[in-house]
Amino acid sequence: MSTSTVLLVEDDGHTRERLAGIIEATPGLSLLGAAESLTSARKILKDGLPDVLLTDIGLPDGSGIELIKQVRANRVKSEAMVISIFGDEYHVIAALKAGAAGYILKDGTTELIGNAILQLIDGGSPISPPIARHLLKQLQPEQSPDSASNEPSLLSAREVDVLTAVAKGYTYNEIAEMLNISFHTVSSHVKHIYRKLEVNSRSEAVFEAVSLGIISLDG
Amino acid sequence: MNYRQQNRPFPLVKTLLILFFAVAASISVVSYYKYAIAPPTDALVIDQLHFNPADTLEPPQDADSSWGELFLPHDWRDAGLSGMHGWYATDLELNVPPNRLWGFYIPRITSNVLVYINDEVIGQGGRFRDPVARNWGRPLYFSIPNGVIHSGNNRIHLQVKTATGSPGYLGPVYIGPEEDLRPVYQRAYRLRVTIVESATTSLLLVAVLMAGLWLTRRKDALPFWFALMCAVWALHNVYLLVTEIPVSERAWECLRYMTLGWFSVLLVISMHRFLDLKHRAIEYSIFAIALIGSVLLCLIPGDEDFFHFVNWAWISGSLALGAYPALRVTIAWWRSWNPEYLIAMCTGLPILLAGTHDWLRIHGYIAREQGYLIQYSAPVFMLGFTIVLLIRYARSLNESEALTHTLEARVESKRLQLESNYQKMQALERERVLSGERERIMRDMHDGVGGHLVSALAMSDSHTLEPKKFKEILSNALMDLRLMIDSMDQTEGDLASVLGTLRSRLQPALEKSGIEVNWMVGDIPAIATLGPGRILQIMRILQEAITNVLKHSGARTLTVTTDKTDEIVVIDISDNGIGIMETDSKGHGLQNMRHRAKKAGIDLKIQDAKPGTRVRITIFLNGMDPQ
Repeated sequence: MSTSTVLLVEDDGHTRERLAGIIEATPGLSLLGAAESLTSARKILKDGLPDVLLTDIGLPDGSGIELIKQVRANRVKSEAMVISIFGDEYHVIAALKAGAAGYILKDGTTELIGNAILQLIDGGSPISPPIARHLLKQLQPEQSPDSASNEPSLLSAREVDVLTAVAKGYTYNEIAEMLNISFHTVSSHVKHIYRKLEVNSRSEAVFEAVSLGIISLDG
Repeated sequence: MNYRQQNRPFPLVKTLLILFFAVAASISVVSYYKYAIAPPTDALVIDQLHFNPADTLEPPQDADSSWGELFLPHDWRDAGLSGMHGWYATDLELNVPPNRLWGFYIPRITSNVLVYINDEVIGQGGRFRDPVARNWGRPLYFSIPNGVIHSGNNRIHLQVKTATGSPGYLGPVYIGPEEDLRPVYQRAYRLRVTIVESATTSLLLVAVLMAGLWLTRRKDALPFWFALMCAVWALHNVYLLVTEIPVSERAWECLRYMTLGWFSVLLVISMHRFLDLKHRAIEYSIFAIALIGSVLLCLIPGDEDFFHFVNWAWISGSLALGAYPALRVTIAWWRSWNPEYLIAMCTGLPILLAGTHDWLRIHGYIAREQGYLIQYSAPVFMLGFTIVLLIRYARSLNESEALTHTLEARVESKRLQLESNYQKMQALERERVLSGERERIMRDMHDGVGGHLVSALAMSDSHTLEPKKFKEILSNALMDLRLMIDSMDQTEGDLASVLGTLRSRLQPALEKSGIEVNWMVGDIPAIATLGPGRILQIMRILQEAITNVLKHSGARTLTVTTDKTDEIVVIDISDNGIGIMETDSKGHGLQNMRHRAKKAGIDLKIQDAKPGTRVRITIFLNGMDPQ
């Protein structure tokens, strides 16, 4: 099994040390570097891109979201994850829109954090009920008579089933059993949904930029 | 409106203007009147004749001893003639016969005349039978056929018949070329007939308009009385205009004097309304007297008594009554200087003057060659009064418009005031909600995170610091903080999502315990009445219940199920452990759960399920637990 490189960006020293320890202790993962700020992270990125970027959002010299965008723009195969204290909607959704495909809680156990990163490399993504609920709202606009025609749902029926079950608290294993699919399929459905969110928000950004006159599609 | 009290300068200007127009109009009218009745100048005037009061169909013989010589005008009353017939005769000497068409012009005759020249009838003023045609309201003119007048002596006879009660009268008559006489006749005809006809038509029109105005606005009685007055006056004019009357002479005379008298009565009432005077006693008295007079008019048997009563009592009474409103309006004007009153005064004065003139004429103080004038005074008064009413109408329209503007402005200012009050209230309400929410968050933090941190601090101070226990307290603090954040996120009252979130938070502990979880959360409708505060209490209760299972029950399975009806949502947390009675945690933990359930307004039941325990919470869709 080949090892995947991980870049860790976290400003709190204790947490950084703990997370770095978890990564090094997890088979199949190796630490590319551990940075405490945006600047030092970019310095490391100049020498090469990691397979996985694990970053905090609130950094002393900027937002980890910038870093996620940078890595995703340079190498689509690179994955990104955010480190969050609460896993709350606002921070996580912003990161997902920038291209992250999951998050880990700072106080998560060694096993949980290691598994989440491995799952990501394996083509799947972790998710939580509040995030699922938010994605359902964001990607599947309510079917009102006015918007039904011009705002089609971005989610497939199966994806909606998965998100609905997650929102109710069911685990991937339970969902796999309920829908008669494999754990891996459920996990990759979630990752696929994250990608849709990223693409959708990128096209929204283009649309906004065009309408604001920042970029021109003719040129 | 009292201009004098308001001491404004402009009514003086208005007053002078009105007086100027009144004088100018009076001069114009008098000049026109004099011009219209001026006798012809280029014609032969016949004013010296012989008279015979015989009642014959043919002219009496020249030898008849009753012939006597006299000069025109010839007033039968002055001459003491009481008969109703008479003949006039005269001779006209011409050296050469007329070489063009000639005419015969009779400016004033009472009541009818038949003209013979050389024993040929050249014209008559209508019916000679009773009731005889009445021509005293208009001049007469007859063309003389060619060949009737010749050189030498021409014999002219005039047969005259009078109506009952009207002594005969013949003014100077004229004979001459038609081209000289006819225009003079037409001038007089216009003045005495055409103008009166037009005035009558106008009076009727104004009467209809005023009646219409009154019908649309009943509370103002003035137009009603004014309309009635105009109609009565129009009827009076009809008496002057009709020559061949359709009823008996007595009935016709009754109509004349009734309309005259009742016009005065209506004038008084109208003026009272116009001046806003409330003298009901005077009005009722006048009505009563006029009614009695009218009955007498109709009932007096003899013609002599009738005309005596009419000429002395009725006409004099009407004239005196007409003087009363003139006096009233003069006093009103003198007190207020209101230009409206001056207009009414100036235009009403001619009625009084003409009435006086006609009274003097009837009683012989003025020559009968002057006709009656009363019919000319009505249009003037009617015009003035209509102008005044229009001014009033325009003014009240302006006032109501101004009032509407004021009202609109006041409504608008009230609306703005209400709006600002509403905004203030909204701001207060927002403030109240915010401060309520702040208080709740502080209380929840005090109960949860705060308590945990204080106890962690206390432990770190003590000598018996147990790292495991210390870590647990801090984990609990973090867990409670996460529950608070999660509860804030749950703005839609989606309980299924609340349960899902809770499970994800407890997942590490559940996995660690190795307990088997039967998660059976179905579709639950969103409950809008669940705010973050109640959701947090529910989450804490469920967390406590699940933690109890993990820590104390010794169970191998944990089952979470949901159910719903139209009114309630039920969440059950059950285990297959040792049961509630056997656990030692029934004290503080359960009490806490009950306390939270009460605060959140939900029903909580903790039952011994044998085996294990079942915690059931019931949430009411339409608000709080009714108990």
